Amino acid sequence: MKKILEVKQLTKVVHLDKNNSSQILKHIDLSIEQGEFVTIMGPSGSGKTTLLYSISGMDKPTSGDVYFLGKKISKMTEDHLSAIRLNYMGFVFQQSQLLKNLNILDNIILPGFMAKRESRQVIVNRALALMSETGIRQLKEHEIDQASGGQLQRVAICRALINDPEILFGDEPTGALNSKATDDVMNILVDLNLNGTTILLVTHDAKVAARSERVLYMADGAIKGEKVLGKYRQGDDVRAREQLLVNWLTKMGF
Amino acid sequence: MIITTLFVFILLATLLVSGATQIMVTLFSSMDNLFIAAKAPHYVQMYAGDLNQAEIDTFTEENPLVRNQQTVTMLGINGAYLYLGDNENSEANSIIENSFVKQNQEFDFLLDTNNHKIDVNDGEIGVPIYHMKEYGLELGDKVQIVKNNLNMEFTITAFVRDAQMNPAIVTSKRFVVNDNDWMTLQNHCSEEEYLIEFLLHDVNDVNEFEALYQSSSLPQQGTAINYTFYRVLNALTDGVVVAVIMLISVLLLAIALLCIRLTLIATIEEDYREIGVMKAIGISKREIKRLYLAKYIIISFTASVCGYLISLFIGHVFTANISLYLGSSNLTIWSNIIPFLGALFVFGIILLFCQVVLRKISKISPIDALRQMMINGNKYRSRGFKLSRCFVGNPNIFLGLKAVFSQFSLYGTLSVIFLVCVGLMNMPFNLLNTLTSPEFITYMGAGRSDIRIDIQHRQDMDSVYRQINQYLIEDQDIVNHTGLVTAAYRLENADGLHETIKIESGDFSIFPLEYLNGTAPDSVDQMAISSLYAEELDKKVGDEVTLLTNDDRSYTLSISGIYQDITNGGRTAKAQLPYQKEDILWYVINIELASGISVADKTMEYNREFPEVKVTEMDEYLSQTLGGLVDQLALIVKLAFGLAIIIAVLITAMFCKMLLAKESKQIGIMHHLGIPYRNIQVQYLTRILTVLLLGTVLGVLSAMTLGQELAVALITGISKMEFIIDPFVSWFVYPVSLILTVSITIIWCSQSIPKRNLMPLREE
Repeated sequence: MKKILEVKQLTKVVHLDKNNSSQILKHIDLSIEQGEFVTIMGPSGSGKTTLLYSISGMDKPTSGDVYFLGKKISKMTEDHLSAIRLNYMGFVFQQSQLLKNLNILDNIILPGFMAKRESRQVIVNRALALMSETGIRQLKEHEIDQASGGQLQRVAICRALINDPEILFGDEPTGALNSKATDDVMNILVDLNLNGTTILLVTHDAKVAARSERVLYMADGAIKGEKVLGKYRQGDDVRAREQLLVNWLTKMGF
Repeated sequence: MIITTLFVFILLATLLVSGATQIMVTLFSSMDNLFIAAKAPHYVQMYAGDLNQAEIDTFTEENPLVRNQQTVTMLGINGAYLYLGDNENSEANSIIENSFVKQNQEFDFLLDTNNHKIDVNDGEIGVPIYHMKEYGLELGDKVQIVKNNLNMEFTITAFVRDAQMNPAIVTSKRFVVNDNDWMTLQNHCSEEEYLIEFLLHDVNDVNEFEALYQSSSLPQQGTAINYTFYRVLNALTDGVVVAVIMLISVLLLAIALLCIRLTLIATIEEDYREIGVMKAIGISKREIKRLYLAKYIIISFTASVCGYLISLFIGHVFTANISLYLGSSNLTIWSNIIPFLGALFVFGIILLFCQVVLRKISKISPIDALRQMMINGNKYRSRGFKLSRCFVGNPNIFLGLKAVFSQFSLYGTLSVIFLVCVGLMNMPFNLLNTLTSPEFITYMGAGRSDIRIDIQHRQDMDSVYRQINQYLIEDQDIVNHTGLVTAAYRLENADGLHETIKIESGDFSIFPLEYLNGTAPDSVDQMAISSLYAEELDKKVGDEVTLLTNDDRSYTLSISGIYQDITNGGRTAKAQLPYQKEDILWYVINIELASGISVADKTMEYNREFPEVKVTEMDEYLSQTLGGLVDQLALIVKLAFGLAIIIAVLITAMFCKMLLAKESKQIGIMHHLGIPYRNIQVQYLTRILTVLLLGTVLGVLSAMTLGQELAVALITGISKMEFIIDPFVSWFVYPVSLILTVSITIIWCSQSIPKRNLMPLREE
């Protein structure tokens, strides 16, 4: 399998004041293959989110290198990184983070219009298809304050997918949802992965991580261990996978 | 940034309001002092001609209203013979009429700069303050009179404060010389003019006296001025300054209020949820308003106090001109209290305005506000503009436009500020452009010509006129010329009393005027009058007036037309009446040269041929008549341009910083999605430039319409004026300057976008 993302000796130091600094990421090595579904877990303050933002080009690492599709992105200019994020990466956050002066359909198509790779009609049609797949087609003319939290998170997923990204990053994408909405969102992500989209999630929810293929455990800014669960398919016993994961996490000290 | 800008605007507004009120207080106090010290006359008739003093004495004795009377003889010295200070050129081209007088014995004293009666020795002279300021004269400088075999040199020992002729707009000025020197001058000068001055027992009787005088047989060919009018004239120059300062302070206050509206609306929007929560837990809307009001009370109070205090320290800058022309004022408790009330007024207006804006808080529903917590923000409606159906090619421009139209109350306020800036630039410029255009002559009661010859009142005036006329008839370089004669008549007013009216007669078809209503008089029974006169006499086209000549012949004339005129106090008339030689006040000859003939050369030729008359190029006549005003206006145009640019930059910077802070989260989202900062910058540029374009178009149009009305209200004698617009400046130079400076400001402000902490977008 081809490596989509490779991280070598990644370090992030944050200066708290003149005399004090804190090392959030400590010499991290990581590699993700194309089509993989990887989850990063760990206690609060372990550096999960910082790692996600550093490898996705949203935050600059202090040292170390990040390779995306074989290209070193850790030293790229801000404009270059923006172009990579726009064209090859998708993001879903804990809150839907939609632009509040756009309606639901416009929020989804905006990155497509910005990328200017295809005609507007093609982008709008793809957005409508994504909305149908995620079950929110009926909301296309709605304002964002006219949808529920679960629906908005699906809108965010559609937006992340509008440019057909190589990888989808998720930062606690189900963190603000109830269990029914969490199941719905995760089913969508699993289907996407089965269709070939690489996914890297940060979560502290074992039930969510149980649907991924590989789980990394982080503590004190370093990856302390890894659990391979194998590809999850709809209908697999998610509870059994979750139990397996919980046992491993307990051993890791989670 | 926001607080500083607001503070500066309020401070400046308070400073100017306090300054303007200080000018008013000082102006009236100084004027009172001057009028008392000078024992200013209550009624003055200027007159040039044979004088019968015995007749005046009889009138005085028989009139119980009169306390004292004196007749002042002024020796008119043609500017061509007068040299001031180091100036190598004579005063030939000046429109000022310089007269030499002795110090008066009874009243109407000519004072020095300490308000003391001037007393000069042989060879010494007191020079009007106007000349001192105009030429930078100092005590000890020389004044020379060189005429044929006369060569007199004087040393300046005093500068004259003249209650009657102080103001710059009064074109007659009095120099004070010793009795001996005056006698020498009298022997060489034939131009004598008299001031028949009356001091009344009670100044309130001046109107009654005026009516009595005008119905008497005493001399009336000349300007008559009363005490009230002197005061108005003296107050006018500084009054205009007060009006301009007040106008600027109102503008600054308006901008400060718009800034407050801008920041308050933005803050309320930002705190939408918090306000909802506060309401939900039972905090009353009054308490919530008080929270927001506190900040603005502190800012506006501090700024108002600072503005007031600064005005006390730099007050002398505002009142320097008054101190020079009118002398010092009496400092009373009111000198400080009135400016303080001005500052208090500014503070009160701001508080009231804040209360009005904060009414928005009452409209926030706690349920709506709390509902917004789910989606991180307050309500924005996307109705109207849909990206999926958008006609604008660039999505960044679309997002910029959409922001403007979905929050129009916020951007509309900014647009009004830009409108004010553009109006501020354009209004004085349009006025200047109009005043300096050759067409403006039509507002001065004259048709367009190349050269104008003025033959002032003198004994041999008639023969000089005929001589010049003959010369002009023979001159091959001339296409057209016409002589207009101004003579004095008496007009019966609505009260049945007679007042003097100066009427210009001649052929008005050669250099036609533009008439507001009606046409030029084309027969002996018609008369055209200036718009101000028409207003005063309450006459319109078709109405009739009755005129009397000095030998009591009566004419009934119908008003054929009304025209605009700002000369002679705006009161002039035109007709084709017969006139007696002794009633003639002056002649004016208008000349149009053949094409290719140099106006300057021709003017020099006539000046050489006829040294006893005033020959002026028409353009020169315009600029001399409007000289001071045009210079001042040119300065105002520059200042207004600078002020407008500074306001636009400050407001843009403030608005931009506020927006970026308010929308940092939205910017963060876009950045995370991969939209480069450069594109985000384009969105902000689009927003503000759209608003700027809207403000510019409305601003230019307002300056052309409302500005025009304002100019008409400001200039006496003009009831209708059409601005002459320079489209290149109004529609290109000014807008482009604004667009450039505003764009640079936006780019500069948005440089900080990447430095803002946009990470992470994670909710804890």
